[in-house]
Amino acid sequence: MDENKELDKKSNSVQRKKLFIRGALDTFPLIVAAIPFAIIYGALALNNGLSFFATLGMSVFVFAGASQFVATTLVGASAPVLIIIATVFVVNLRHMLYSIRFMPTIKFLPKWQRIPMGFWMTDESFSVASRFIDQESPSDKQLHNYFWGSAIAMYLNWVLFTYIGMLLGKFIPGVTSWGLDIAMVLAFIAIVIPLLKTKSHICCALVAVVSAVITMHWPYKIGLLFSSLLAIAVGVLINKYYGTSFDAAITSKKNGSLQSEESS
Amino acid sequence: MNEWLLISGMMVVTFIPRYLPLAFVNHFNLSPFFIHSLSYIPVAVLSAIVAQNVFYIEGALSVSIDNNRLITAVLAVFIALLSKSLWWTVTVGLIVFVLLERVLPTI
Repeated sequence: MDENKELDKKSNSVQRKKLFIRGALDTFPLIVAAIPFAIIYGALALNNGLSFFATLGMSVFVFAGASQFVATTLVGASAPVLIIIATVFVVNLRHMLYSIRFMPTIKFLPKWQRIPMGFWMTDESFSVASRFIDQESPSDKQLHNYFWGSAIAMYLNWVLFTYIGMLLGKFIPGVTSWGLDIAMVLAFIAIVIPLLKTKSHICCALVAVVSAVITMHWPYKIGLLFSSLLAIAVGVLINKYYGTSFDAAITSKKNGSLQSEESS
Repeated sequence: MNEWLLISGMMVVTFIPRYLPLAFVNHFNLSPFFIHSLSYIPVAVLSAIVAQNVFYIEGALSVSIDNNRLITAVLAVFIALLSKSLWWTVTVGLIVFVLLERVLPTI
C-alpha cells in the first residue's frame, strides 16, 4: 500500500515536471519575440528619467509589456502619477478576458494558487495555455503546472532582458529591426487557426482583423480591447441565432455526404 | 515624482483585472452557453493582435506585396492549416521572413 502511494507520488511529481517543462518549451518562440521589447523598455525607461531600481522594479512587480511602455513614455512627458496609473489600467484591461477564459478550468484550484496565475497573465502565456486547454482538456492542477512553466520562463526572460537593455541598450542599435517579434505573430497564427472550426469562429476572426486594422491608432490600445469585444459579440450572436442551421453547417454537410455515400 | 508610488499603483491596477475573474469564479453559474462563448476569446484577441502587427509598417497601413510581414503571415496561415503544428509554423515562417527581408534584397 505504502509503496503504491510512494509510486503514485513519484509519478505525480514526474508528470508535474513534464508539464512545467512543456509549458516553458511551448512558449519558447514567444519568449524570443519578447527579447527586443524588454531591451528597448530597459533603455527607454532609463532614458526617460526613471531610476535604475524603478526601471527594473517595474519589470519585476508589474510585469506587463505594453503598460510599462506607456508608463515610461508618460514619465518622459512628466505626466502626474495618478494619470499614469489610470492609463495603465485601461491598457491592461484586455487581460481580464484571458482570466475569464480560464474560469471553468480553474474552478476548483485553491485560491492562493490563482494569485500567481493572475500576476503572470500575459498575451504569451495565455495563448499557449489556452491552446493546451483546447487540445487536452487538462485538470486544474495540470493547467496550473503547465502555466507555471510558461509564465516563469516568460518572467525570467523579461526581467533578465530588461536588465540587459538597461546596461547595453544604447549599444544595441535597431534591435526592433531584427524582426524577432514576427515570431509572436507566427505563434499566434498557429494557435488561432485550429480554433476556426465553425463559421461563427471564422466570422469572429475576420471581424477582429478588420476592426483591429481600423482602430490601430486609437490611444492606449483601446482599439485592441474594442475589436476583441466586438468580435466576441459577433461570434456569440451568430452562434446563438443561427447556431443550428448556420454554425453546424460544416458538420452536417459532412454527415450529408456520408449518408449519400452510404445510399449510393 | 514618487517612483515607488507609481510602481505600486501600476501593480495594483494591472493585477486586479488579471485576477478578478479567477477569484470570483465560484460565484458564477457557468452555463454551457457561457462556456461555449469562451472559445471566441482567444480567436478574437489573438487575431486582433496579429492584424495590428502585420498590416502596419512603422505606423503606416501597408497592404501590398512589399509588406514582408503580411506575406509571411498569409503564408503562415497555410502552413498552420497543413501542418497543424506550432513549431512548423514558427520555424518555416521565420525562415521565409528572413529570406524576404534579408536575402532577397541582396540578390
